[in-house]
Amino acid sequence: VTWLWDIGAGHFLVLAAILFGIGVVGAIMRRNALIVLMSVELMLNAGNLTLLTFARLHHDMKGHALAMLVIALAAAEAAVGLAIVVGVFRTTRHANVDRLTTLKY
Amino acid sequence: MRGIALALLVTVVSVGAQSLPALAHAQTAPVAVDQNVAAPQAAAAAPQATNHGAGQAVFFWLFALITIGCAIGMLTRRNAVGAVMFLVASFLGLAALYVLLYAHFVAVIQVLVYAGAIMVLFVFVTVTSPEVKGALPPNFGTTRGMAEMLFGSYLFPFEAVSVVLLIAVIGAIVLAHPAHANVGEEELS
Repeated sequence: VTWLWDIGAGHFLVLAAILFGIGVVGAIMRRNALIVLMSVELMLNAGNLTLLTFARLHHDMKGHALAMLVIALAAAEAAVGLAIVVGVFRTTRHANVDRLTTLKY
Repeated sequence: MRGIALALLVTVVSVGAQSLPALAHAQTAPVAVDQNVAAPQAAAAAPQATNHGAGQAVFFWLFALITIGCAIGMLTRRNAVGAVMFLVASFLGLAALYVLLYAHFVAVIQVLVYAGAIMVLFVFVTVTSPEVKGALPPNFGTTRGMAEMLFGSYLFPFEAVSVVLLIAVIGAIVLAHPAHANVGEEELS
């Protein structure tokens, strides 16, 4: 079995796909708004892993720059998202995304 | 508590991997990655690549298992604090994988910003290597190469991100400030 010890770009891409899938499942299945935000962070990291894999593959550091920008934007997203969660929790005393239906009707 | 212990363990392991340059970034490893994608037979034909590739394979599977296992653990936790700790461990494993991909600077930023700043935010709510690297261009993945790119051809996106961060900080303060706590209370409850 050569794929066990011959680590190529495909291994990293499959790992990134698995991580992205875990993030999608978490963002859809979990009710807690905090867990949903963390699943989004996991998906962003899976994208970063893909970017760095292709940067490695093509010997091109543009992927590193894009990964840095993604990390900075993820920090901004986490700050605003957590502020919204704090505000929602302050008014409704819960963080269940299934019960936050005010904007639906 | 188990999650905290796990996060500490992963920290030790990932720091150990970064301090083992002979294993974590073997000099024939970059060639091996390209050969695996372009021509698998060439990688199998090179006898020296297997020696370094075995070390890389061990680290890849170790950190891939840690990353995926902790991500699944994050999903299955009932309490948010345990989930945050599992996600920190998952991000540290990802940082070690970034080192395997020769992205040393991004790996450090991953540990500092993600496992440090962003996850501390969640908890509060709840390198350079100048050695020759095979066929890679000089300064690949180093702090100097990063700086020449971010402050050169990518200066405008870099500055734009700083504006976005400033707006995010102001927005977070406005949203979370106690003076605005009763705004929209009757609509949401």
